[in-house]
Amino acid sequence: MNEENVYSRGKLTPEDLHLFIKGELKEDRMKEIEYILKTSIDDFKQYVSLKESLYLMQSGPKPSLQFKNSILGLVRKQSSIPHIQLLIKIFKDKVSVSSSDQEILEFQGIMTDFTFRGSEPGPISITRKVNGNEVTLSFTPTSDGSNYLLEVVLSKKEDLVAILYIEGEEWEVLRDLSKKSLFENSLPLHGNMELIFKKKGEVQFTIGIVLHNDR
Amino acid sequence: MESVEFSNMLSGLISGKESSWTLFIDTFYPLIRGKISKMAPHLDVDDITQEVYVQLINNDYRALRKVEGGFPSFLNFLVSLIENVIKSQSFKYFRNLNRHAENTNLEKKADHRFSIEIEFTRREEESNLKGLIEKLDLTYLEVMQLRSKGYKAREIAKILNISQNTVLTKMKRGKEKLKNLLGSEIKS
Repeated sequence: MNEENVYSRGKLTPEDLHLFIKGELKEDRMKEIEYILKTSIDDFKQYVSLKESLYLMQSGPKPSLQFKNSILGLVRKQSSIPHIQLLIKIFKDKVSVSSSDQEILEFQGIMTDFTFRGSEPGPISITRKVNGNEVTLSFTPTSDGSNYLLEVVLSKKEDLVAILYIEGEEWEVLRDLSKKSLFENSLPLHGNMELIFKKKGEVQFTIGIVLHNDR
Repeated sequence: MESVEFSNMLSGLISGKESSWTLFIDTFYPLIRGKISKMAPHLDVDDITQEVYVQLINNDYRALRKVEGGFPSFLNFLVSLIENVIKSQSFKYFRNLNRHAENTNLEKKADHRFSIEIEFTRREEESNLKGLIEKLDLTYLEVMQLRSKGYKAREIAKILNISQNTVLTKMKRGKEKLKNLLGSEIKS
């Protein structure tokens, strides 16, 4: 077997390993994976860990009714927090905004490279009402066009803290929205973002944003 | 778990559907609780199990929204989450022990420092041993790795789908090989 070929396929995925464990691969692939497992300690450790997980799923302890109820209680509480999901697609000549509380909206030529004499790409502003609060999100391109700056303006901003997460990681916190509404760190052109608005540590509402740039 | 059933469950979890959460608890609790019992028997297993679920639910199921891939990838994700929660709870546990010691008298403080010292040495030895185990041949590696995670021979036999006698033999030979590796390390 040619070692370079095997390694050029990269690390095994959990899906590969699962099919290997179940014996649901073609003979050649089974042999290939067997070989990788003999030569790559990381893949081997992942293989043992997957086998361990599958074993525990079958033989581990069962949940009590009390435990199940306590978790379902947390789920009910979480699901009562207002949430809006926005999908913003930026094309060369238009911006398309899909919102979980509205039909798809399209704005022709407000942003993007499709500019006329004397005009230049400007910000996109989206206003939605969440939990009785009017929230305006403005995405302004940076001067080199490689990022966006995000500003959050609320109709009722008392005691609200805004926390921005990008790809699940905390990005920046605006501790007093009445004094500061612009996030200093610019946003990437693509990605999953989330804004969490808290009052005295309690989440009041959340906005999920998927930004997709196709310019 | 079939891929269609899994992706339906995942989207139900993210939208807070109770039937999906019930299925998730029934299916994955044995793994979550079992893994925590093996990895952190010195901590409050009930509390850590609850914390894993809280992490999955918090902030509008943000952790779950990041999940990519199918059921096997989800298992990986879940195991990483469990390990992270255990790490952070262990850190809190030892920090509280330290604080507690600072508030007690000197004699108790010395005892406490001694016990932390023992724990530190134990963990250091444990991590050195794990490093040595990784130098073993694959024949012994899988058995010794599971052994180091606290699994009994009977359980290892079930996980690896081999007989208990084979496990015992591999454990015995693996132990000998580890001793030899340790001996050569000491000599050098």
